[in-house]
Amino acid sequence: MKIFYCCYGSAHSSVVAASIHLGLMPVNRIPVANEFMYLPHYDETRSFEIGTPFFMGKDEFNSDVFILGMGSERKLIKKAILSFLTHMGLNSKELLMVDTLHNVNWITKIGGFTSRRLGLISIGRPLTIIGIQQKYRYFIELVNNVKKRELEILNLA
Amino acid sequence: MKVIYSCYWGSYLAVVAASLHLGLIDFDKYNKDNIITLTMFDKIKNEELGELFFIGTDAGEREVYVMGSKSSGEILQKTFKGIAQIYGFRNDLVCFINLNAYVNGLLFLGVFFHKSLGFNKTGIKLILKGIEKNYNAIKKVVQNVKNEPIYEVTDTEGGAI
Repeated sequence: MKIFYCCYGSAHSSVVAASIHLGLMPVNRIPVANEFMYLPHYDETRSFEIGTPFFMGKDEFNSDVFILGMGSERKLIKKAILSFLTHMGLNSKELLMVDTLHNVNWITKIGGFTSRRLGLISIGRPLTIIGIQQKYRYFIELVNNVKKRELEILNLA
Repeated sequence: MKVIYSCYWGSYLAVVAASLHLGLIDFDKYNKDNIITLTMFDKIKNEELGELFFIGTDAGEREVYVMGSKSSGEILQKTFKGIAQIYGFRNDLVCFINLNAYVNGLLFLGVFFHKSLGFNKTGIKLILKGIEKNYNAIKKVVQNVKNEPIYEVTDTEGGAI
């Protein structure tokens, strides 16, 4: 099964959600700033890479976990992926596309803009981390729900 | 191999390009009467943006599609290639052509008159004028696509699909 954590630019919220899913981030406490620095792709994805899916790892159920930046038309891109798979004759039942942008607050948004768009990493990156730390429990909740759904789908298959 | 012609609304430039590709309209001369009779011309609704519509198969067995992708053409180009790879296909299985660079003022105005104001006759007239203005450029794009090598569509185990 394939799980895509999707956000605007695949640099912050999708990376954190995918990392929690894969056990790279804690589920019993809020991580300190340093722990974000070691996450693959965290605050690194460039604008021209939006749209490219990045593989983050395999989870305990052998599902492939990806991150994907969808820009501002997430609904359209999701529909396009499903339509593409259908026309390729591929099964889209074992696929989850999870929007992580709901968990992003304005601090992370400003931080992301400052770091990724303006290139002011030393100011923007810490802001993205503070914002995510504030909403971290929602990320854990989201991943828990995704795993429940994942198990339901795998049991049905 | 899948060739996807995409533009903002999907049913104007993309339909013309796909029809040129498949020889459904005259390649050498712009003919508006020919264009308005195309099955998919002006047919994709707003809620259908993001969906692929199959138009036909060319002589080289390439499947030709159209899609309305608003301003996400560049993103989708990368997404489709990535998804194809993830599912074990060559990424050049998909040839995604974003035609948004050929959307001009006449076309924009025409769609606004047609879709937002409901002035269908004027709107379509302007849309056709907009297409006519960039007809030669679209022909060049299509010709380049047709000149591209054709890849056999196989999965990772070499089985044709």
